[in-house]
Amino acid sequence: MDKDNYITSYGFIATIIVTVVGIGIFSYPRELAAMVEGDVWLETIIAAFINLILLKLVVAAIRANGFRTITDIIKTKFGSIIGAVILIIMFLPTFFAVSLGMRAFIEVVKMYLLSKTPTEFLIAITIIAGVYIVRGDVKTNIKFNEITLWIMFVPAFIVVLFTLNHTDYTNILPAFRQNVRSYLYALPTAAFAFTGVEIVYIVLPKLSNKKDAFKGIRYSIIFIAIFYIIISITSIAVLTTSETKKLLWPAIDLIRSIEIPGAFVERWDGVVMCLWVIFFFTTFSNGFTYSAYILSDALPLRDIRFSALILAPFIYLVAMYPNNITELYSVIHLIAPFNYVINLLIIPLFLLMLGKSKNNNTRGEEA
Amino acid sequence: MKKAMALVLVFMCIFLTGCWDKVEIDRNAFVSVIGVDVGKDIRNKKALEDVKPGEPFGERDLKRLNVTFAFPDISKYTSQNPEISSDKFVKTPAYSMEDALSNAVSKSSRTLNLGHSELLLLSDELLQYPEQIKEIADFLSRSPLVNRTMYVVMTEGNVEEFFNFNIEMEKTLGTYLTGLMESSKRNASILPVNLNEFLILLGDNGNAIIPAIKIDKDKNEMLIDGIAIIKGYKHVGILSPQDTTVVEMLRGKLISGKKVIYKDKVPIDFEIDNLERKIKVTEDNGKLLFKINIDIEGRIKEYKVDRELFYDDTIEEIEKYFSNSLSEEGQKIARRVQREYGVDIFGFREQITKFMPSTWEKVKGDWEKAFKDAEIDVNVDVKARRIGTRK
Repeated sequence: MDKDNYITSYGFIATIIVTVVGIGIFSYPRELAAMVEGDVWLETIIAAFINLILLKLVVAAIRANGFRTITDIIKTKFGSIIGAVILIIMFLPTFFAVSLGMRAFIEVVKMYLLSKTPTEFLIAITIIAGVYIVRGDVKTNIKFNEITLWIMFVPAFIVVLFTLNHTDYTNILPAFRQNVRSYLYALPTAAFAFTGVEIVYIVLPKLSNKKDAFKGIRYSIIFIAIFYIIISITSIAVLTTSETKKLLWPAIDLIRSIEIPGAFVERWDGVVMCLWVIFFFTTFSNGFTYSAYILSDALPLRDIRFSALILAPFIYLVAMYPNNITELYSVIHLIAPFNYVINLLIIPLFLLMLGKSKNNNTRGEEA
Repeated sequence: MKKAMALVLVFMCIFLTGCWDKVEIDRNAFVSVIGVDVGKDIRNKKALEDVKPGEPFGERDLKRLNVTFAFPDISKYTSQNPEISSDKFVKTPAYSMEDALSNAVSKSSRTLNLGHSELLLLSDELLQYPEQIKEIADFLSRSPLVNRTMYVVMTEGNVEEFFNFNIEMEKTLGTYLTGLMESSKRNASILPVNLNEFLILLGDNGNAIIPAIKIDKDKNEMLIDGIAIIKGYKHVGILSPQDTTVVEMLRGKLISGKKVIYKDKVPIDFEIDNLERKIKVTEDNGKLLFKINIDIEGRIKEYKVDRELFYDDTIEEIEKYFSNSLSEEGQKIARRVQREYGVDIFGFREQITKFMPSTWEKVKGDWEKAFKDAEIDVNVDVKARRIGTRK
């Protein structure tokens, strides 16, 4: 394995999964159940397909440009000044999504775990922890992702097992009874739940086995979709559709309603919440790395450690911006489309067109 | 460099010692039972009528609720004598649940922690006030700290009487009642409902069922008194403990229970091991017909020493008697609930919404009427699988 292409297929898959699955999973069942009732699974599957198509585009775009890093491609194509502007436009949606996601996470923590600790303090220490991991460069991040994948999902699936004796899976019925319009309206919400896939831009060029890149993406998207479906369906099976629609974070209340017969420890939600802090943290650290990585090349900083420090105060400001939880979620919904349109549609299409026309100038595939 | 490091460490020691959310276990009172009763101002609807939403000094001394928080007295708890001797109480009048909580905190030396409560008692009088029940349900579902797995029980009479009642078997009310609920696997006359289920049922359409308890003053006993039926957030009636078994059977929830028939003046006891319920819904000219088919498996527990059971036709005959008797009982109670209360506690509505959505579109406008007019047909098929160790 050479020095530049150090990411294994497993590291690649793990990175995509842990980046995408974040704090959104807590509210995902509510957001979708409110629109399509029990047909959450159907929407999730369609959304996963849409994401796969968009990612295919991204992979094709990077391949057409010889698997160079995204900053490199854009700077050679557009020159350093316009390139820098484009790069900044690219990382801003992710940056906002990460910062607002942090606020959502802090809200959950404040609600269930640390009610008296000031929001400012919680945000500040999470950012500091984030800066620490970003300073280790992409390599550290990938290793961290490889480890946390297990820490995150093994307990999550065990928790789902414990709910089994409270479930009534017929609650997801009746199927296919909503009107077409609500299916269409729900689709963006479901698709945006996969925000974070843009991390592919910075991990793909470093992947050792580039031929199977799309295969890895396919596996990770399928894994995420299955996880979303399991959590949503279990929420509906335990809490019913009408209750799932009313709760802010049904996935947490799902855990709160677990009773393990014969267990001497009550209230497992605290334990699970602590474990699920990692869910957010991986999303945050990877999104942060993505932002810092692109920013460091956009402005001629040349060091991710420096750009991470520059971004940190802005993350804090954006996270503190929404006045309350209602505003927070409306801003989150406002940001998500930008990310998709810019990062997963416009940029790859541009790169694909330009990459094909100027293919002779590139150095060819390195892998 | 070393000095700088040392300085950093010193500062860390100074600044990282505090904790905003520290929980001192000896400063906490873990509430085991929450009892909610009516306050003396509950009928005083006028008091709130002319209050405008933007008016200052909203805090007013309205005693709409009487809330009691009971927590185990751990002052005498030692490792030599690991026993909770009794409960302690904080009782407070309040205008809402949150007000009650803050009143109680201001009255007690410890922080009240609702995270481990086992039981919620609602008095039958309180359940006559739907608006209050809605407020309480909202508080319980909005609060992130309330234990969603605690049991919900209705008391017949003042909640206070139950707190003061001297229970023979256990030292505290919480342990006694949760014990009763948990033993429902062996005793089908209780229908345990936890807060999660209660909130889901109420949230759906304001209807729910919860177990009821009462105090028999003559015998000085605390008794399970069947199921309280709540309709539109209001208590409308009660089903006896004997009916509870049948209701559970009709709901397909019965885990185990006992039934008896008399044949030739001899009681034959039958223990139910397994139960499977299927609902079939058919629609005929806008009239609904619900067919509840119940398959029961079990064992015969007692007969008579000079008679034998070990014959195909004897067992078949007994099975037939049981089937008939249970079908009739089921039919009767289903009809009664349907006609008297008009509350669908059997899950017919879910059945229609899930499996016959087009029919639901037709009847959802006036589901109560559709339910009241519907035909219910109960059909029980009993199979005696075992007869014990005697012929």
